[in-house]
Amino acid sequence: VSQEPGGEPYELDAELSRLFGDDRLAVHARPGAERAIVAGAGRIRRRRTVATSAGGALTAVILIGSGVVFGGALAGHSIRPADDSTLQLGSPRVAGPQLPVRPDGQVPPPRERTTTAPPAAQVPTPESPTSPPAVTATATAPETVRRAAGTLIGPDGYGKLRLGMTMSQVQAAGVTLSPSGDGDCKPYDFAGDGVPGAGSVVISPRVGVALITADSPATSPEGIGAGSAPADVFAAYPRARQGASTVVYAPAGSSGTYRFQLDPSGSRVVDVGLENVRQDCHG
Amino acid sequence: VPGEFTDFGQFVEANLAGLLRYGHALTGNPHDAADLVQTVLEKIGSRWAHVQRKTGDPLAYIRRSMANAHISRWRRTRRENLVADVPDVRTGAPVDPFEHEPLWQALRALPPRQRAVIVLRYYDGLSEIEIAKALGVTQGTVKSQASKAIASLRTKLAAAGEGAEGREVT
Repeated sequence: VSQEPGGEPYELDAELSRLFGDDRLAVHARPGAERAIVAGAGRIRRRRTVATSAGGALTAVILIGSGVVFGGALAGHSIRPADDSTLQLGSPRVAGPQLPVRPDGQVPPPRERTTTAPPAAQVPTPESPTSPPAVTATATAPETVRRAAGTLIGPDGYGKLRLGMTMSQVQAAGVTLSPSGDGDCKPYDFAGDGVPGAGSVVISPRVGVALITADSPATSPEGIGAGSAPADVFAAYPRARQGASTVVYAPAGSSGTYRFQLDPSGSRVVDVGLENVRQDCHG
Repeated sequence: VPGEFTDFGQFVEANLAGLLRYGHALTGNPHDAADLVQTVLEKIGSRWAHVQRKTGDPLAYIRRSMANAHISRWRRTRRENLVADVPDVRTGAPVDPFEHEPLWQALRALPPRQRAVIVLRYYDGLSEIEIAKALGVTQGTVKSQASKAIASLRTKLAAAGEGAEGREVT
């Protein structure tokens, strides 16, 4: 069985070494990527510093503050953000590449913008307690979270498509599946009467529906969806946690976890995924 | 400690391309590679002085962290990523340069832990013991994951070979 079509024994070891030496494995970094990573590291450190010293209530403030560090660092070096797509992905209210936008759509106060060109590599200091009061108010008053528009996703499914369903249960629920890739856990595009809109789903052979992502804007019952600010996410979900600097996870009932993908500047949610807590697709 | 972040910046500059390439081998696609590299580097950068002091070899530490992060955390294809210049998957053109490589396709189909074992072995050149240490599992687990992976690669390659009969396999 381990033979090539030609009948020769397949030299798997040699083939693997050859494949891993292939030039096509190269992935090209965007201009400014290094700087963005250093800034992201600074954000995480600052969040950690403040979270351990001041408690979780300030989390939202920190996130907003960290956006400022990112923008400030870029401005200080007179370069543009990592890529123009930053602008395309941002809301139309984004004033310009170097001015991060607060939840209320205003540019940050002059204090941050006039900071004397901090190098991106400079270690950020913990957020001072005198940070923008408007944001603090948001963080302590979840009922003021601005609702994003979109179809409802979560806490345990999207329309009749529920986390944990087997493939045949999904199909019986009026959801059509078309395979979109291969793997132990199989990805499908979905559509049909059973769901509010089209999207993609990953189905595990063991735990069923493992991940749901809607194509069109979808919003959690707490009102978080495309366009929401990170502060809104943390206000709506006090137990939310950050993955990469542009991903925030939050608990969704007993069976799921929301996965909020932010834009490259970390200032807005661009899409919402719903992940099965029992998913085993990562091996 | 501004020096610490300057140093981390220089490290990232020197190693980003290599780590993205490694991430590509590990995850099977450039989007996930970029996401993985960004996530791991940001976390490690936030503790850079500590990581350097504690590990002595930050690059090896980062590569192992990437293997672990890939295994333990779901990664789905990004629409865009801050770090890598890869085409948007939703705008059309497929981006997989290894589309016609049966071995690559077979690797992609492996569960992440098995794939990580293969990458640590054949990309990093680590021994079974080193892989076990890197992934925090027993040597027996490495052995069984590796043999499962190899068996499944062979099966898939054989199937791909049969399916491709009559036309040239590259």
